[in-house]
Amino acid sequence: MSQYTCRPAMLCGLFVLLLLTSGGYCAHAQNATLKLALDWYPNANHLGLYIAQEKGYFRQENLAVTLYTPVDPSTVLQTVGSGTDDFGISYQPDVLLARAQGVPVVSVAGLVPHPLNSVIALQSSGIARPRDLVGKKVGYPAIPTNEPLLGTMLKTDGARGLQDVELVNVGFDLVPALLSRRVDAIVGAYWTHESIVLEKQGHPVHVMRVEEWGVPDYYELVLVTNESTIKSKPEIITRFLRAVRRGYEDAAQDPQAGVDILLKGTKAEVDEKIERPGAALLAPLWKTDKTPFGTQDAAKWESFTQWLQANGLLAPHVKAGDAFTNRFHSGN
Amino acid sequence: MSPPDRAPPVAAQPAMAPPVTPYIGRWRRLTGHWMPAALIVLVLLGVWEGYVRLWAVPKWLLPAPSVIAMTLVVSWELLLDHTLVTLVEVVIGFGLSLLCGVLLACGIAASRTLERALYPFVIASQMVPIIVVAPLLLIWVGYGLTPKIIVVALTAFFPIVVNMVDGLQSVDPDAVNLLRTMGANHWQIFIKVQVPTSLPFLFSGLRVAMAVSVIGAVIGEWVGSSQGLGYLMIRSKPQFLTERVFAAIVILSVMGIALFVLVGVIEKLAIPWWHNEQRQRSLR
Amino acid sequence: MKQVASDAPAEVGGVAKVRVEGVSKYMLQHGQSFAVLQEVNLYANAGEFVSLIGPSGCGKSTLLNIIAGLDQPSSGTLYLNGCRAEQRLGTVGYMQQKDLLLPWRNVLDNVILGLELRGMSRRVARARALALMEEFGLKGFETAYPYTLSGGMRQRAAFLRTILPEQEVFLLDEPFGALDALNRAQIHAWLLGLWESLHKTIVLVTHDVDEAIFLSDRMYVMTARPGRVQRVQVIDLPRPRHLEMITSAHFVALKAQLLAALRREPAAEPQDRPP
Repeated sequence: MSQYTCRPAMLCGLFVLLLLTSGGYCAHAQNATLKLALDWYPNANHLGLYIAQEKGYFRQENLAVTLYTPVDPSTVLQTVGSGTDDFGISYQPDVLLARAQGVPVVSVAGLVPHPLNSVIALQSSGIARPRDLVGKKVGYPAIPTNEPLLGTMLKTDGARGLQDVELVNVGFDLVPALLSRRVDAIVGAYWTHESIVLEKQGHPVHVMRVEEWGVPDYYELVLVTNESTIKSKPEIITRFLRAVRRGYEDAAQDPQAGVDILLKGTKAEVDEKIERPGAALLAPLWKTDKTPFGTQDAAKWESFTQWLQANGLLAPHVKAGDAFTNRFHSGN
Repeated sequence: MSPPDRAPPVAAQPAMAPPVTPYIGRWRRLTGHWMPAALIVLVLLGVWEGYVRLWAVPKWLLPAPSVIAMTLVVSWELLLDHTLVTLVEVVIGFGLSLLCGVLLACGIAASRTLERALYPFVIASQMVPIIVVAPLLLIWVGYGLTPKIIVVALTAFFPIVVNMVDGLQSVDPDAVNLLRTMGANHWQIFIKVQVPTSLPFLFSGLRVAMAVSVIGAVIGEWVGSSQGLGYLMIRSKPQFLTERVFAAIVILSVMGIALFVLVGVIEKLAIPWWHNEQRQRSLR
Repeated sequence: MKQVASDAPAEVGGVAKVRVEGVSKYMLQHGQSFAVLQEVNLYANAGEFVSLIGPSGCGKSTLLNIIAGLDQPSSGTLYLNGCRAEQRLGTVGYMQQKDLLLPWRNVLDNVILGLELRGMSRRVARARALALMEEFGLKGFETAYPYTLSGGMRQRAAFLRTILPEQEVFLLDEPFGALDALNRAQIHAWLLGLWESLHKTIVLVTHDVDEAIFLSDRMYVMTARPGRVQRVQVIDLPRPRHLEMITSAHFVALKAQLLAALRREPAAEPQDRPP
């Protein structure tokens, strides 16, 4: 071999060797493909996720994440519990109910730290507080948790409880039910969404937040995964949460830029006029001072579990401590 | 005068049945009817039960048949209440559909103009997805039983009308001519020949309509109701009571089958000549 | 043997029950108009038994349809009971080839159909029909359904249905075609007996020369399409007729003549058969 062919060949060989060995050094951060089931159609609640996607935070953690909305959103905990989905967005009461039935889901992060659920009535109806609902019709989406929520609110305001109102199952079409005056108020509606929809249609509303009327503070949206992932792939959860945290921190800083990204990510399927004010309302909820974003408050889990159990909605054997974990929250 | 003919011999006996006592023979005939289906069901249930137990499938994902059976027994009162509501919706909706469907079919069969004007709407009624119409009905009509009944009626409407129109139009032209030569007017021909001819077709449509009525009731309840088996299903899901969902499905299936068979029984009573003729024709 | 060269109603001053004068019928097929019947002249006097015979496709059934009122002639006139009858439906009894018993009615309710259509109450009609059931060999089958009857019984039931409304004229379109020879012989004898007691005018269309000769007073022989009356034959066999007459010399001679006349006329090709 002449010196002219030898040197390039050696350089190539060295290069290839470097590539192979560098693969070994990065073994602990292998690429992973993850599926995350959203709780509903994409909206301002999911800002941080879309930001993490768009700005490459997931990519930087070597994660390829698919965000999607299941055809039937009520199946999120079942798909996560069975392992079909790696992560899901669900609700704190639902997580507890699922665990009562043996579904192995665990909440690893709190995305929205306060309830968004509220009772909404048109201002023209004159209903401004729970007591005003006595003898009236309240529409709800047949999700069982709404019943004790409303019951507690009524009792706190001096009424007897659920027996004083007529609950009507209106499916998920809460706004049309209220506008058509078929019901006098709705529960199960978000004060960051349905109230905006109504006001944009020219109907000012009264909003009664559940945590202001006797219901213990709880997480509206939590990020869940299943127990087997926790056991076998803990570092993936850590990486995932890191990216999610960065996304939500950006969302808290500049929610409107986040909405731009949301629009781009969902190809403008979302209604900008609703999501922009919604994002503005949510941003303060995401701002945290000490704890990293997503860390869950044990007291909130305990008090809410007890409240569910006291209202007969949750079996007594369920332990709040098993339903959530902060293990995977790292620093920067 | 003429010697009366003998009627042809009664339907031929099946080839050489062995001499058994009548009691056992009847038992064999009855079981012969449902035995094959029952066996298949039992085998499937066995496989299902085995799969769930051997692979330790959690209850909230796929409950075993034994668990579902337990739920049916334990929660029978709750299930009965909701079953009755759904049953009422199905029956009233079906009845409404029958009435409107038959009237519309008579109109379409009677007049070419009406046929051209109305038939496209009949077809369109089937194309619009009920799951989209049902929430709108709730807004327009309210949240009681009425919107569910309307949903059931809309689902059952199409097979009834189409089959009845086919039946009315399939009348034997020679029979019509016969009546014309006897001086019958249009109305007499309609009542005495067209309507009886259409009955077998109508019952065929009724059987289909009855089956889809049950589905229609459930969909109507999903979208907004406080009672009924459909409502029970959507309420049990977020509570992860999958075995209750399945129990409701079992009841719905039984309801559907029972109603289907009921229509068949009414058909045998209403048009006995049809079945006898069919049987006769198959034996010749 | 008398053969009438031209056809004219008998009895001066008498009015024929049925008179077909110069009736022609044209039909459209594939845009082309063709003649099914051409200048047909036919009559039947009161109480006469007239038969119509001809090759397939010569328009016999069309002619009966026209007389019954189901169809109108393209040209020519029809007289029933002496009057021009434009709306003829229901004035003559018409028994078609198929018995057309309604399967959803039992035998009794089937035979009273004609009476029912005229407005008679079912009760009265049933009583009237019951009185005749035995004569028609249907005793014991009043509540039976048509599918249980033999071919012969169905035809007799159809016949009873035809005659119950007691019209003056009856048209029979090959009513016994579906029966076998033995049954047919029996039914001919029975029919003649019935006709003699009822004194009605009958126009019979048939393929069977024997049947036509045995039953009728006069015979019209038609040509192939377009159908015209080729020949009118008077049947001068004595009445009442007996089955033994079929083998008599006179009968055989008549039959030979008529068969010869028929053989001269080839049957129409199948694709031209009128609808």
